[in-house]
Amino acid sequence: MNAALVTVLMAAAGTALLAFVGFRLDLSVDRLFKNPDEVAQAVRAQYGITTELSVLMSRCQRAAIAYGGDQPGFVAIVLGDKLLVRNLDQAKIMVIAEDRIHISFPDFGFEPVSIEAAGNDIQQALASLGRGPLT
Amino acid sequence: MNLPDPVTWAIPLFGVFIIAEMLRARQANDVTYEAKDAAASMTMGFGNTVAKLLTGGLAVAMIAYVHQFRLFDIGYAAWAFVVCFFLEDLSYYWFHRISHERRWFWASHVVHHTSQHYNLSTALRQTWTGSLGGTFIFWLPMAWIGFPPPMIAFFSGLSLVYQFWIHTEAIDRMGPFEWVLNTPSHHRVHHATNPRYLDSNYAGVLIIWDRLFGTFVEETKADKPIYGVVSNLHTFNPFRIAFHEWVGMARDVGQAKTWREKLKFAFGPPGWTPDGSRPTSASLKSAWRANQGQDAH
Repeated sequence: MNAALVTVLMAAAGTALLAFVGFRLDLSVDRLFKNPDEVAQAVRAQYGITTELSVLMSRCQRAAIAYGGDQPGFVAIVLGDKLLVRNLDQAKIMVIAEDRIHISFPDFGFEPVSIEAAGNDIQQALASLGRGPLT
Repeated sequence: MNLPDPVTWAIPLFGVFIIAEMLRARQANDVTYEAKDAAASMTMGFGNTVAKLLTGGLAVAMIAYVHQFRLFDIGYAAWAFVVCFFLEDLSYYWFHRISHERRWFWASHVVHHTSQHYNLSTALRQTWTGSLGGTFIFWLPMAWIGFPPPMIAFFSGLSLVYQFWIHTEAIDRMGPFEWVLNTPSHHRVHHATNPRYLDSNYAGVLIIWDRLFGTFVEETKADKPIYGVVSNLHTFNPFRIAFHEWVGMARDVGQAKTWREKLKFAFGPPGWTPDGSRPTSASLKSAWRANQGQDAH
């Protein structure tokens, strides 16, 4: 048989086999925050603070804001298998809709984050952070 | 002289090692797999094999054409194999570096960086447009010098096979091997989007080229690599993965107001815009450096 055809058939069979094994093993990364405590603990661990923090969790449970005390506020996201935290010092927070805010950073070193939550909870978080609708 | 194609021979081994790593992912935390992501990577690998068969003839023809005008008749002497290994690896370094620094080549190479995971399946996430994009030009000088095209192809294949096993988080540091070889640690840095790590460690087999040309960055435990691209795709669709950057580039070139802008959109750094509104690796890195400086004061 033509060598090129053998290569394609081997690659096709290998791809199908490996994809099958991957799905059969149910390989997936837990991309969701389990609860607000997990967010608060991650922030405390990264920034070495002990302050009690309130958490505004996005409906997708992949992003959250932690705020409270005299802290500048923090955003936490799960990205792939990583849990990342950054403080909101230099962040721009934009209210896109009553139930949705968009957080971005000037240096692009951290992906822009969208948070969808109940309007009241968003208002409360923004007020606590001392932020207006476009800050 | 008939030299084997190392990639074809290695395909079964790729499968065995990927299954072994998948099983490890079930048991240990040091390796992560997302089934959909891995399936997308492997589909890209399969597509790459097909694309090479359909379009690879262009590269073969160009290399054979240039070889006609060779400076020396090098042939298959033992010393030629040794020199060819080093020159092929150097050619790979420059191919890889330019593939990150110029959007035309990045449009093909970005495919390999679109996974937000780092495991052996990521190694198979390969471009479908490499030959059409002209990436073979980086190996033309070797053919012109006089190295036989099959020898160049052999070492190029060997380099790809070598690079398979370094796509893993399961292996930490490798002691003195880290000085000369491209290792999992060095290549994790290459795949990371953390500003500290951007545009570094372009090596194929030997990391010496990065050390020589100033692009080497060591992995730092405190700054764990975050994989992917600066603006992640968030898709497992193989066609979007394969062509998204070409589509974006065509759109930018089409909307550019001057010929200079068109050329810069195609051959400037990825992210270049006339008003600097999008991030480039250089801007991200300098912003990070400035931040570091502020933190130090």
